[in-house]
Amino acid sequence: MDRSQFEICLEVLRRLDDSGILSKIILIGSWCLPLYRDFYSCDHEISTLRTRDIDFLVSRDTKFSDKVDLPALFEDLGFILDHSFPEGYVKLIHPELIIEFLVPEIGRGTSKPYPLPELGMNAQRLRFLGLLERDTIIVDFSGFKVTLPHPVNFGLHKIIVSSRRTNADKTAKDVQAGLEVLRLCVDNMDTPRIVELFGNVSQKQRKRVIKSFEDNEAEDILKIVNPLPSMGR
Amino acid sequence: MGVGMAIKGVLREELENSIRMQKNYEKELGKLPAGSLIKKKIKGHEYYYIVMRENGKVKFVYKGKKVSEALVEEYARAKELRAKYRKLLSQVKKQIKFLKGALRGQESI
Repeated sequence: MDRSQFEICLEVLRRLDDSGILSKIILIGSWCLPLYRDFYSCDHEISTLRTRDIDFLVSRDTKFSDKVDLPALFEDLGFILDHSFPEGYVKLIHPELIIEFLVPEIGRGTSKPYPLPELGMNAQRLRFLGLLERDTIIVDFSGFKVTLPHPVNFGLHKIIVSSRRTNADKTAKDVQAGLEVLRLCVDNMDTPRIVELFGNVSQKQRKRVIKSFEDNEAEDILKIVNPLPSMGR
Repeated sequence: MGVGMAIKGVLREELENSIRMQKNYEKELGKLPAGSLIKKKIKGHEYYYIVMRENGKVKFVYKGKKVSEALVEEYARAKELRAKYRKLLSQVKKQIKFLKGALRGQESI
């Protein structure tokens, strides 16, 4: 990890922690990958390929006790607000890091951002994030307690969303990350958890996952979730 | 589909991010009040001016013998942010150059 990026990231986490926000949000996205290796205390090779985006998931039922103006809190670090057009959601941007908040999309859905007035921000609504908040773990990130989705949930989520992407580059990145994390889970005796979670997602999602494993020649993972392919699922 | 494609995808996404970032930093710099607030001592009396460049020439705009604390703070904050944003903008421009080169296959990654 680039040193200056790591330092900015730690400073962001420190400020979120001091403001009482860090314990109420879930770190998702590619920043989780190196932390999963720490979670399993293993030296499994894992890709550190990622963009500068650091995404935080906010559950819809989260209540922030104090109002914290995040753009003002991070202003002296050089973060500025980036408004997406025409969607209207905002990100805090810096050459080393892009901070974004996401909430699970439910129901019919809307393109409007989800307001987070307590943080002076808003969040992008995305489908399937419920899978990430369903089972979480807490890991130590340079002295900060950070909540992450369980690696099995992370891996399956990546595979499910990869099939919905319209951008081929993003599909490839999602599949790569998903398979990598699932293989890490398998190596660390979490195979039963993969089977269990796979059994709990919808039939449509199971089909998507199997197709993705087949398309990407991931027979090692495919045989875990679909041991008897002739019987179908 | 594979690692190569994923890497190219990340580079492309980062290039788009950096281009957006450059525009945003330039916009933020434009929002800051122009010039700096300075205090001049003339014949034992202190006077405040805004000093700025206009068409290549240095221009002094008289603000009075006393200015509000809020104005002093506003210009101090602007000075600090201007320096920070210029530094970050320069960093972003270097990133854009690097990423464009990498996508053309001219940069060693």
